[in-house]
Amino acid sequence: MGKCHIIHPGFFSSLQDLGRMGYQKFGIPQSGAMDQRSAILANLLVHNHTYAPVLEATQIGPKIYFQEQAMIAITGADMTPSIDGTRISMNQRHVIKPGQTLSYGRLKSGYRCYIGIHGLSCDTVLGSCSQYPGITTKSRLQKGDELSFETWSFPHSGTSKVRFKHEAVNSLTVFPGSELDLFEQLEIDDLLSSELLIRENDRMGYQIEPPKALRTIPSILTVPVVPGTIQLTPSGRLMALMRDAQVTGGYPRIFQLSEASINQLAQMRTGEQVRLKLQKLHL
Amino acid sequence: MSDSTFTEIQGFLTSIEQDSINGVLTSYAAYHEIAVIFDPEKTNHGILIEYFKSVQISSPKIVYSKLWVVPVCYEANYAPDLPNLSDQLGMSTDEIIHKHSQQEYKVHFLGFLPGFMYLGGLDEALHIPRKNKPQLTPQGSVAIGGAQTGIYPQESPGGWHVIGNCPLKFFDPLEDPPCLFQPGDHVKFNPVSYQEYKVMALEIKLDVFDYGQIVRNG
Repeated sequence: MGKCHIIHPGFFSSLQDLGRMGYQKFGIPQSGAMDQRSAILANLLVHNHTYAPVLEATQIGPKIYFQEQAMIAITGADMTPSIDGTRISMNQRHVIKPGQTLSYGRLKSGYRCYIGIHGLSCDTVLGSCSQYPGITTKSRLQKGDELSFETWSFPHSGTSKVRFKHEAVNSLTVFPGSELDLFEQLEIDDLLSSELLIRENDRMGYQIEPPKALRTIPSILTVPVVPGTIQLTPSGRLMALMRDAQVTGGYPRIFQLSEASINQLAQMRTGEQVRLKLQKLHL
Repeated sequence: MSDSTFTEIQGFLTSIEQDSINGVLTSYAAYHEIAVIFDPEKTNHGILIEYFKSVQISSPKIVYSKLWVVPVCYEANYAPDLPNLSDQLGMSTDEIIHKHSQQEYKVHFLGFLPGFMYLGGLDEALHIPRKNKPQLTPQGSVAIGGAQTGIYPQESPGGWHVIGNCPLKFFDPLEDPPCLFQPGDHVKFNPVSYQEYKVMALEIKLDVFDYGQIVRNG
């Protein structure tokens, strides 16, 4: 097995796969890569299974020293990655040689970047490597952490590259939430025709602020929620629940993001603006 | 929430599990709703809705009749919000402790945090609005918020009023099942002194605590 060392974890980095399924009944969140499309792509580029673990970096990428030769690929946000100071391209596999260091520069696009490493192996807890406080021993990557992977013994990386550009989007597709009918139609129409501002966000959720706070907020019993559920909080702001969200919630569920829109939102940051496009479900 | 709703929800979950429907990844419940997560490549809304309409509600698999007698230290070190609560409710701290610890609470479901129990049955005299601002709440905190009471399985920001602490380690992701308490179980809080709490906490830390002493099968 090859090893690499986290010299610096960046702003917030963690190990993620496609999440933990089947433990929600114990109150355990699903977790998993925020932008699953990019995570899967990173794995496919380096000949891993789609559900293999990847490193997820937020805003500022980590600095990683490779002791043995590895094959890696970087997808998602463009944080200007380089190997020993030489810029490398996104969405392409690269061979990193023993003694080389992967590091990052300025964030050019998106918000979360994924590093796929061929044969990366991590401890699983309840069927998943995804780091989460109280479930895995560590809740994020820290300075000094060591990761193991299958050494890549072939000299060339090949030229495998996918044309995959992280497209900036300004509209997210939503479906009606279970409590949508409890809201006033005029307020909903207003909301759907406005530019909404992205505020504080993390792996649990994104706060999204409408220009005018909604006035009427129905109160409900605690109900199940899933990643992508958009709640209306007492402050009149929207809360789009993301992968680490709790499994139940007490705020009305106004919308539900499509799976693709969860991935898109995961690449957006504070200060960006977004619109919601309501799509009816045809049942 | 009524007992009949609870039984129906648990019966529905049991049916979904037993019928192991193609494409269904998992299901879980809150008070009066069930979430079913499915793989859209293997099934769809239409198929599942037809199934839900036709489902024969089983008698719930989960009919635990366990009563857990959970030790709680209500003494000052562990009960930062008790004096304030006493003022707000116009009730002595002893009265609050008495009312809180004489009730048998039903575990409806787990949510909010891994292993956090939603308990039904809090005495109406103890209902109180949550704090305006969430505060960091230590592991084991026994707290009241709104019409609910519960135990924090891990340190977390929370808006509930902390009136005691429970030394038990009842959630462990490396155990199967990871949580000691299951929906359908009942919980009763047993006031213990600071000294008793310390002894139990040490036994739990050294892994010599006998969990058999806190369970009654009713």
